[in-house]
Amino acid sequence: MTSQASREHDATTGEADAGRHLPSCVKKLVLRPEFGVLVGLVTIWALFYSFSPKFLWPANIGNVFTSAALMGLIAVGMALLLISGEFDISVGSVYVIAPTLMIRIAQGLGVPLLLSMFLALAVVGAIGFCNGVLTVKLRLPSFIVTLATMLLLSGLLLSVTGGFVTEYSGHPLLFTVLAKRIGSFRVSTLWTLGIVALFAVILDHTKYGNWVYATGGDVEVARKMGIRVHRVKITNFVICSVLAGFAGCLSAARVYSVRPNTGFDLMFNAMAAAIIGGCLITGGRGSIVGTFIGALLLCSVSSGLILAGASPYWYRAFVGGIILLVVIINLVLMRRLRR
Amino acid sequence: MTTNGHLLEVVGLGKRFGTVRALHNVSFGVAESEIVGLVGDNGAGKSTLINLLMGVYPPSEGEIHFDGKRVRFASPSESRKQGIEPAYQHSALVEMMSLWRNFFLGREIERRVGPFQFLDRRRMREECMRSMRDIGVNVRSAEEGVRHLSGGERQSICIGRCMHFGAKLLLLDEPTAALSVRETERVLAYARAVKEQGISEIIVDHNIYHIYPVVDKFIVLDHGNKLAELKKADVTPEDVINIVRTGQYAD
Repeated sequence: MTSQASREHDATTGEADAGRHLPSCVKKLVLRPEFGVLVGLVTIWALFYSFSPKFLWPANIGNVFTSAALMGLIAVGMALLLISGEFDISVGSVYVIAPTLMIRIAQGLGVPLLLSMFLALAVVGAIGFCNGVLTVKLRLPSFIVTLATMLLLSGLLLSVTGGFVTEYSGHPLLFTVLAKRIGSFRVSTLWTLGIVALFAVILDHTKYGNWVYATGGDVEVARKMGIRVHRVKITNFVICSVLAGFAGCLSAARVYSVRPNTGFDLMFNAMAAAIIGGCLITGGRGSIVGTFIGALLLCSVSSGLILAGASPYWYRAFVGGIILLVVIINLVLMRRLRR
Repeated sequence: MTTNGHLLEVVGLGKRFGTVRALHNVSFGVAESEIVGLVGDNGAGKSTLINLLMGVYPPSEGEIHFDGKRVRFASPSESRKQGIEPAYQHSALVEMMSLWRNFFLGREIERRVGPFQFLDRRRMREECMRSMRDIGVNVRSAEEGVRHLSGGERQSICIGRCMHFGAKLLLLDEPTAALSVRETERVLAYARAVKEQGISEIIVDHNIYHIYPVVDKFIVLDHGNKLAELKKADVTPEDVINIVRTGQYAD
């Protein structure tokens, strides 16, 4: 019995016998959920570097981080929600609505920009709250609920803006603080790194994180153990929405404008980043740091393809391939676990 | 503190789901360190009764008295706080989580760092391992995933958890289902050990032969009604099986 259990254990961690001879600190590193995606990132960097040394120039890496900051922020919220067993496809709409609201409230009503950002984030937080309540209280699948909110919100936004870009005129301090360029990098990257660190700590080192894992891992058990699973899920819907909204504000702070049709692709990419970063779509497992590395990986692919002279259209195909690979690996692992 | 010498006293308990009467006018008591076997065919109302005791949903009628006072559990966390602890091999542990995370789920130990509260992982790991050693479950590390453990080991972990947190009433749902003969014996030995600590137990099981050696009395449910309450001394396993099978009981 015991030997069978231990064999399974090794199979699941993918180490088999090789792991036994490694020092324990190395083994610990290898067993972390972020390890796979980290190896993927390093491989891809090496690959693109061999095509074009420009890839690792600070200017390019800075750009990769700048776009990963936006995608990563959305992906981190998505990861938290995925781990608790739900997901949100309305984040693409939210990503556009928050900065549009921020700029329109500030310029239309003369409200200070910082305050209007908080108002906008409160509105998208409320959207997340509604998504959450509809999902858990009416027991609707979150896919359907957030599909509806996504279409509803983006339709609303397009009809209000007429599909036109919302611009901000002036050079507010807030935009400097959010996204000023420093050398090859941008401040927005720091904001995202800070938020990644915050949620990584919350997930693995707080009571709440334990409840998130449990809720996504087995919602009935979590409920019987006294976890308020509805509250956990709704909270994560709100966090997911607010982070997507904040990502939109970071983007607006960089380009001083919002295009109403930009969020859709980003939503898919963010979900891809979370899955590549080790999150199970069925909940119960995942990593915040891994998710951010997943976003870095996707943004590296996008920029690397351009530098390598390939058509950027290959990007989508590439992402599709990576997702399939990851899902297959996960599936094989899960089947082994069940045996 | 007890009611009529009982730790748990259930009076006229009933539960309706819409027009379906899942449980009707059920009354019984569980004494301190008594083991009650709750038996009945599928759909007899066993799970409904257990869920009412756990506070999964409130009763439609009747009262629950526990530890000397009337209780109304709004949620499982409330019943757990009062000392009613589920120990289910399939539904009391999150498979994907590690042992220590499961052991302390909903009752995490924290340490304060400045204004923040963080999990005290080291202490939880240590206490979890100590508890495992105390009940004689052999695990390599508290980081081990629960999915790697056998049904019997899972059951023992739940029992260890209940003892660690000082539960007064342990609810076991099909504790011997799908266990090997040896594992069944171990789990039943744990059930006896729990009783010796003065903890009461309600065991739901289909296999009356399995639980017959450890229980003090049987309560037989049939179509949501209490059909019989039998002291073990008065019946053979065959008698109990017969009552469950026929749904007939003549005093």
